[in-house]
Amino acid sequence: LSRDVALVCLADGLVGVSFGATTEAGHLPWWVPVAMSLLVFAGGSQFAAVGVVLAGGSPFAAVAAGAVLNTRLLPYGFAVADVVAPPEHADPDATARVGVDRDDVTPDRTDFERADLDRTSRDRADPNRTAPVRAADANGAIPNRTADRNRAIPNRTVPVRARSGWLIRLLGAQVITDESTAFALRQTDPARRRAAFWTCGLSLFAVWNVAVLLGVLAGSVVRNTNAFGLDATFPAVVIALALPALADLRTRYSAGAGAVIAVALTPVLPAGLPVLAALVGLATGWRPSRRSTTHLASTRTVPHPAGVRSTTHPGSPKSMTHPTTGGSTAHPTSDRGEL
Amino acid sequence: MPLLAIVALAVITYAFRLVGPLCRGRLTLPPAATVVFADAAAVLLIALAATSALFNGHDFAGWARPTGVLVAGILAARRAPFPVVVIAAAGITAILRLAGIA
Repeated sequence: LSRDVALVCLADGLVGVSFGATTEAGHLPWWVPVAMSLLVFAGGSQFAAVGVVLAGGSPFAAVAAGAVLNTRLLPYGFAVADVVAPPEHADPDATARVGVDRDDVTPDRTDFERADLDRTSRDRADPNRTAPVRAADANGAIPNRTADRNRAIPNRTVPVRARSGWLIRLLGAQVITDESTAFALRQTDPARRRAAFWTCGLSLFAVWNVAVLLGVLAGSVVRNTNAFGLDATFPAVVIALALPALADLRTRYSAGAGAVIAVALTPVLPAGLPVLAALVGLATGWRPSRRSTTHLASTRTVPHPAGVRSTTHPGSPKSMTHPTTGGSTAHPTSDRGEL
Repeated sequence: MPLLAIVALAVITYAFRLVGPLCRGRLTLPPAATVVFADAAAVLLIALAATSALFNGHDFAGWARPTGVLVAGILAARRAPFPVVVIAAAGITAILRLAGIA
């Protein structure tokens, strides 16, 4: 994990350098990329906003383009909400809730498991793989003393935990990015998701800001970053990070349709909007799967000898909480309405 | 680009980030919605990759970049190490440009 995070940081560092160099080449004040990287911390929207300004657009249009591009962080926030907040292992109700939510995302996770058999078999062999215990383990990897202190107090009061939880959440929200979300989604185990998110998020924040500063400094030296093909690294990084999530066939169809829609609309729509329009692609992958998800889920769980994710099987005792069969048919409209 | 614009974008961006973590524990999303949001993230990532590979703003970016990204994508799908993927993207793009392909 740390190796992958380091490599992503390296790659994004290159993107950050090119961002700093781009703004410098466009004769923007040095503090513009620095302030953006610290406060906005979203590479795509930073490029989009600066691009609009450099193309002669108004600051308002730049903000709109960046903001629209960053609406994707909204679903990211929901996707990683469980790892941004501190583990609520002291609260039985909260623990139960975490357990239910893990089941919710299981259909996607099972494919990840199959992809990384060695990792999951290790997880399966772990006798202590209940959510609360693992979540507590993950805390060690998080450089957050508040969480550790709270863990040491067995009967802490709810308000205390709530307050520290807020601080962690406020901090964690800032490091929600494409990369930290993708890293979190790649992990099956809650503790690993947490460690992946925080390791990636915090390292990336540090590396990104240093890199942008370096890029500004190097801007006068390296005039044309495109000559080195650095502009190709951003899409390559994003693809590499999104690929594990595409193990699910339904997601793959959605992503393919979404990419076609976004590419087709890019020449005509304002920057940022085509990527949002790609969400329409969700409908193509989602609709036919509503009937077939049960079938897919059961066939997918069969090859797992230990039946780790068997809670998703419709025939399992916990089928009342089964998300894919019950949930998706029960809320077909509300899903898209919330997007 | 005025500082006010940067702050505005930062506040909007942070708000998008915060909604999910804040709703956690207070408002439980429908289970299906969680799946949809995870899917939506993947869809947006791929769309972002496709558009940023093919376009500079509204214009086609030329063949070099998408070719480099395509090779990188194939390498990534074949589980090539991450640095190989990134270096391939940059390297192939750079070589194509050196050869006169935009």
